[in-house]
Amino acid sequence: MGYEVEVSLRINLDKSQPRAFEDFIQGARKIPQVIEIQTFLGSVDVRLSVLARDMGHYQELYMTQILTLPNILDVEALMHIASVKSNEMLPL
Amino acid sequence: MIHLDHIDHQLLLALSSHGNSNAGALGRQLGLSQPVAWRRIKRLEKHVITGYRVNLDKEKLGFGVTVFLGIKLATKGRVSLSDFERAVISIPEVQQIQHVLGLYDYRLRIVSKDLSDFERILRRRIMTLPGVGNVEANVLLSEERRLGPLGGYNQILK
Repeated sequence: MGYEVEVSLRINLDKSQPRAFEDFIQGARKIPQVIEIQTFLGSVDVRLSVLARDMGHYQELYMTQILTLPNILDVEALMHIASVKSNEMLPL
Repeated sequence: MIHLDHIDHQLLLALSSHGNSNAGALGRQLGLSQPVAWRRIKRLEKHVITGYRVNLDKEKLGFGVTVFLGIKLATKGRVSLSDFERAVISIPEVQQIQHVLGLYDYRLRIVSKDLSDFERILRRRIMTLPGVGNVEANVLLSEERRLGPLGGYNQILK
């Protein structure tokens, strides 16, 4: 469908803000290229999966949409190279 | 890339949220006859729909804990990558394996019954994988899947 780049952004939020999660997630929902929003217990607070047409498009999205989301403390990116397994079957 | 018009986009959007809708119902929704809708869906299935999936309620089936692991291999090279991949694919609790570029080499999604079940998987299955170096675990608290860029066509549909 013309989307070649998938990036996983691991984000730490400024938890001293009482509505850090709510405001951030609300903002992230408005970005059409965000396909997954997950929250975690651990060293990462929120993870976004972002689709882009190419690296230039990603760069633009990152600068204008992602980094302007509220309460971000730190962002770390993992670029998706290959999906080795993806079946989401349960070990029943 | 095949050409998709706005009706195709609306069909994709509808199928993305309800994959089991039939051509008749989708056609009525979009003002198409059943055969026309059916032909369009078949064309989409041939070119851009790679599959349909069933969403299970993990909690009701007894799988309450989902953990994401970031794994860094200790030794690298073609052999260790394929050894690692071959071994990790066969673990039933591993639902997703993504080869990534950045702080980690692989990202795994692991489903388990509870924390002690997760500990068993981590000790017996993950830590024994060939070439495993650093492992970071994050427990999933909430998750939402979005329609992605297709969602932009939502307005047209309403």
